[in-house]
Amino acid sequence: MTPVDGEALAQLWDDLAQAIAAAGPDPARERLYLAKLVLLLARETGDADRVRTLAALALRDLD
Amino acid sequence: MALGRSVYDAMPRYAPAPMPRRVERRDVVILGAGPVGLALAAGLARHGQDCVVIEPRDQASFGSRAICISRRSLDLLAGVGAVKGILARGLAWTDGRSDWRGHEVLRFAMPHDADQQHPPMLNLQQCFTEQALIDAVLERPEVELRWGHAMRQIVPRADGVTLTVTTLEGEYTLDASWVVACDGARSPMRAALGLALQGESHEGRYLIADIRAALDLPTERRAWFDPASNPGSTLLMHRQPGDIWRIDYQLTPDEDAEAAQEEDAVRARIDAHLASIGQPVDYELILVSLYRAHELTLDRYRHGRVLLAGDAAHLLPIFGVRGMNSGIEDAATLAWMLATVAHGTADATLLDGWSAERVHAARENIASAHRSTLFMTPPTRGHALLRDAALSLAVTQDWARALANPRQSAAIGQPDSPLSTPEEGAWPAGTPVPGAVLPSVPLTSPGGEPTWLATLLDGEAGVITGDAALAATLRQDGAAAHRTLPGGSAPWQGVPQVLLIGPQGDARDDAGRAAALLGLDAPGAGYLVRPDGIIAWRWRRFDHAAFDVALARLRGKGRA
Repeated sequence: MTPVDGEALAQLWDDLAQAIAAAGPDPARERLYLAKLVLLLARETGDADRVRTLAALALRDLD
Repeated sequence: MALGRSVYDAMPRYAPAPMPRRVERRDVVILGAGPVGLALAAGLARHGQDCVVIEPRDQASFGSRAICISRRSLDLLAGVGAVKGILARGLAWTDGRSDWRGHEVLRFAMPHDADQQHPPMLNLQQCFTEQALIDAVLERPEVELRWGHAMRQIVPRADGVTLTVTTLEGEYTLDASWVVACDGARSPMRAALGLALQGESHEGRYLIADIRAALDLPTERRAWFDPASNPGSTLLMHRQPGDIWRIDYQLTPDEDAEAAQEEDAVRARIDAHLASIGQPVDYELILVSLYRAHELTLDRYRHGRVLLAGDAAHLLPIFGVRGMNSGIEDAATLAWMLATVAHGTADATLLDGWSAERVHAARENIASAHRSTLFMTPPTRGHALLRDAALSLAVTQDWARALANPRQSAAIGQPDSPLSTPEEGAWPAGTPVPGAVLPSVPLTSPGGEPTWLATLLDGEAGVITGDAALAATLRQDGAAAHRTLPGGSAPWQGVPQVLLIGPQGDARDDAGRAAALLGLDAPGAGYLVRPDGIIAWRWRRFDHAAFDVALARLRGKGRA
């Protein structure tokens, strides 16, 4: 798979931010939205190991 | 909490068995007349083995308890002559539906087609299942059922077990060559031996309620996740005979268990649910209990001359209905193995093979049930969130529905059993290998009536072939073919029955299903099937010496 970067990533960043905001403001809806997004992306990649690696990466530096 | 005892008041009660006045010596003693102990007793009788069943109660256990009987269990109970009453009384079902927040997210149908002799699942209150088994064993002179007797103490010996048994009249001593503990989840035998179940217990709690109500709903398995009537909870519903409905609902982590079991609290939850599904009817609350899921097993089920089966040996989650069903499988396999050992025609090591097979089955069941349990009682906020995410996606995405599938109990094969013999020759893909459970195969009797392969086997071991010459050879030259086997006079220890499938055989394959399902088209090809329906060996070209080895292996003599 080809990573998204540059201007396309910046635009995606903005789109995702707006989608999360649209799912809120209820934190439960935000969490549900993000969890659905994760499952959809995980299925689309077709690479469970890669998804686990990315999940661990996202877990870093949460504070 | 039994609220509506009247529903089960008609269950027969039995007089306490008289206390023996002198020390007895018996081959096999079974502790517990629940479904596992009774299935074992019926199986032992089927194989000609006497046994004594010790049971503190004076009737079948109370109420509904394990209500879902799997096809595999029905097949096995048919083999011990106990299925007719169960089929006559139970409610067969195939389908299930799940909802999430008012959206249907899953419809499933368990595999079922014209090849199947029995439905994939049948609902019947456990007390009625037990009663059918009691009725079956009461017809068997090989079984002595001692109501009102309880084990108080055991002393294991090298050649058996000495039991101290209490009765209303006093205590007596019973010496047994073999004791099988089918004494349930709180097994006194397991405690007496100091054995501990290993594994995981889940924190999530479910309240189980039985109601009697005239509801206009089909027989199917229903689940509601986070319904408006019970926000944050999961609710399951099963129909039982007699207008009895099982309603299970999840308690939230902060709910007080005692308060939740109060009748008013239970009714409030059920009222809300029935109103939400358009069935706001009056009902009788019959039974309320609390449940937690366990995934626990002993690491072996044979301890010297003591064997443990069913819930005494393993505790499985309710989700997927593997508890009683796996116990019936334990019993069906143990019955023929213990009969051959007690007859002296098999080595006691055969029972180590039983233990290995059934521990394997318990671990397979636990693995299958584990994911269902994570879904039904999410142990963390993360599990709960991803469960909801999967359910939300399942509203529109077919692939996500697989995550919500309840993974109902299915037959467990024994692919690595030390009792199986590697197959001979090249077989068509998809046909059952040694260690697999023999599929249901519809046939036609010589008189033109429909029948099934399992009906012809009738709970006994057998050779299945489509080759008339081979069948004749095995039947006529049986003594030579089985010259290595002692004890030919004992039930099935001699020449296994030979079933010829063909125009002049025991049954015809008019529909071609035996050919398709078993691949019995090559001259000389055949299967050796155990009494529990598991395939021990199969061959494309028959060889007497190899056949003897495969049979000997079923007696604990030699390993694959």
